[in-house]
Amino acid sequence: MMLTAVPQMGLLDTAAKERIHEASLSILEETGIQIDSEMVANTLQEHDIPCEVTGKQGDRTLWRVKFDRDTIMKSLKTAPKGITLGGRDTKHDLYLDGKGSPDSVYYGTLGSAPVVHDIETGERRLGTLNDLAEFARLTQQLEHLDFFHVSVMPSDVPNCVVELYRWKATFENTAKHSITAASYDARNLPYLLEMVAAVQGGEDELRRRPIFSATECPIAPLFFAERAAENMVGLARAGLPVIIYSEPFAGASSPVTLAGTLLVTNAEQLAGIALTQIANPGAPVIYGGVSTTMDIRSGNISFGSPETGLLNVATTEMARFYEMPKEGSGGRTDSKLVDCQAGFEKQGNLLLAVLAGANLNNCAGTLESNYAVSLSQLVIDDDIAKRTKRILAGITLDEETLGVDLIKEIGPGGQYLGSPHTLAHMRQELCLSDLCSKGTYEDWVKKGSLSLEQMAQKKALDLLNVSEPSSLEPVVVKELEKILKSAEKAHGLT
Amino acid sequence: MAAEVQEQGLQQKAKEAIITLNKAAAIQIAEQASSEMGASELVDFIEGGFKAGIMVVGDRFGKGDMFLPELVAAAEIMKSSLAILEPKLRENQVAQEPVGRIVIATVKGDLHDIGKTMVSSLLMANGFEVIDLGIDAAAPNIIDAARKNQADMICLSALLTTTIIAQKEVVDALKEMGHRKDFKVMIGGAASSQNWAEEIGADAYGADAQEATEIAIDLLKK
Repeated sequence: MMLTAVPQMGLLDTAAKERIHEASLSILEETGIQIDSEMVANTLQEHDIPCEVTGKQGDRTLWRVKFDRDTIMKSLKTAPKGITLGGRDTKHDLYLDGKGSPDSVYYGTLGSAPVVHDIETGERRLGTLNDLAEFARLTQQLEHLDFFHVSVMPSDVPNCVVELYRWKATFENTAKHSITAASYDARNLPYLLEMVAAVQGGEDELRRRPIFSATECPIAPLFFAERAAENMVGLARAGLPVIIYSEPFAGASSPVTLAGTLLVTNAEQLAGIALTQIANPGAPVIYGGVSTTMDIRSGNISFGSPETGLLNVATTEMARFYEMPKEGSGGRTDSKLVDCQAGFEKQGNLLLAVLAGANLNNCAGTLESNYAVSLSQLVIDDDIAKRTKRILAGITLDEETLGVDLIKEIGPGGQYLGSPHTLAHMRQELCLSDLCSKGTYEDWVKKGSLSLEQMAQKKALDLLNVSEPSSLEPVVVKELEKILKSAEKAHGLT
Repeated sequence: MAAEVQEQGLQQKAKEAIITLNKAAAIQIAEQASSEMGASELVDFIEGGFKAGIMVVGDRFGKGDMFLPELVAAAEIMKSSLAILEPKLRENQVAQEPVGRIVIATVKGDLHDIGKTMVSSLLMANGFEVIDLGIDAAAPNIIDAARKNQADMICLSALLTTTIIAQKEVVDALKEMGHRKDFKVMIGGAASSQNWAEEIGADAYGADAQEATEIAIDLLKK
């Protein structure tokens, strides 16, 4: 009998998860969330969810929205338990199940980073649209990365339509599923939907296997500000996937205790899920807790902290409790360099996240607590993803892999080097790194005494040299350009 | 002589209340000082007591012996204590000269509060008077507040790459109104940078609370 022993981990037992769930319900029922969007308030009121005006923030009205238990439970019932995310090419489709099966665990980039570490000069500078295209193209080439979180926030395009430039460059340069905030200005959302429909050849196909999903962030604690809340509702209505991207950081925007931060995250998730399900029952929605901690010395966010790893496990377990797909922060780092700190923070926290079964693990390419991205780091993270996938594949146990007869046959003092069993299994049993130094010292010297970063840099440049700039049909590229132009016109740009 | 000793004792207690983050004690000391001391004595009392205390907290934070949440708490305790003393000072028109007066805000369209609060606290801990306008503050409001309070400096925070443009709007508005030279302008927040500061014509960029405070001290010395 074949058995695959897959490593898994968990922190919370059922009683603990129920306790978090009940406490979240009580927060949503008694304290509720804040919103500042009339459109969202109207939508909620149409569904008999009470919204109480609490005051003004400048010229915006603030509402307090309280959700009762029934509303939340009903939303959890209608939220899909599994979601297919499309690639522009169907071979990149991702199926996210709500159970955290190892074959439903994926790795990808992360970003919207304003800063890029230039791969050729090493200069730390503002990112450009060309950088974004390069990150997308390299991600397309890297085998172990499954999706593309739009890595760069380009500084060289008009601010009011920056998201549309980002989406366009993304669709042009990668056929993998793409993720980022849908829009920073609600007026741009219809243009994005036009763009994706153009890329996918119509809205039906788009809904069947959407090539993008949108991370929409509440502002912790418990504030669903205008643009994100309107996108949650707008995308849900369009039947497109939303990731409720809660990012509380312990000690600053949530309690310093991990339990308290977990609770704020979960309460925000339930509220976000409710927003999407009230707008359109059954709309695809992903549990997106990326909770982290504050570095109490500097006040900076700390993605590389061990507690961030624990929070990633616990939020994934809460998603599992609701049988919902989960996006988490995977392995990120606070290091300013491609260095040892980056390596252990990333691998350590990524491993925790995937052992808990998080579906979408976004982290590749980032440095500096996500403030910067590096193509060399992207290549290294692909290698980390490869190792991690190998760990997750576990140990296969059957007669063939056990090799009882073989061991008896070769006996004491023998060797397995040229045995057919070795030849038959070595490629799938043993994970090879393209980057890590594994041979002898002399061999390493002969190959140029390169550091890991130098190896990664070389691989990145080689891959970029051979990558296709665009695999989109020229007619579609033209269409995207047209849509972008009309958006610019609507904003008064010529 | 006896009164002087007692006064020094109260001043010392005020300093300790800040350092030990004891809000109840700080408030009680402020109330006692307000009823027992004359306005001019109060000025010395604040300097040697509450302000001396928060300088110690700021110093320990700089050395890594105290942490940011403690600094924020100390700044809040100090603010509450000074609020108790303020009516008497105002009544007697005793001028209290801060190191500098700073108007700080998160700019229009941005609703992120925390980074700004950190900077605010550290500035206060270093003897600045800080007028915090909160989040989502429009350029005209920021400029009005700076003029009304005769501020020396305006600090503008923006977390989002999509809202840093509002930092530029404030600088542009200052130029248009002919007030650019009246205030130093420092920008900060995750999305801004030294390059951006130079591009929009701000005087400085502060990468974190510590650096922002050092820059503020430096700029306002000139």
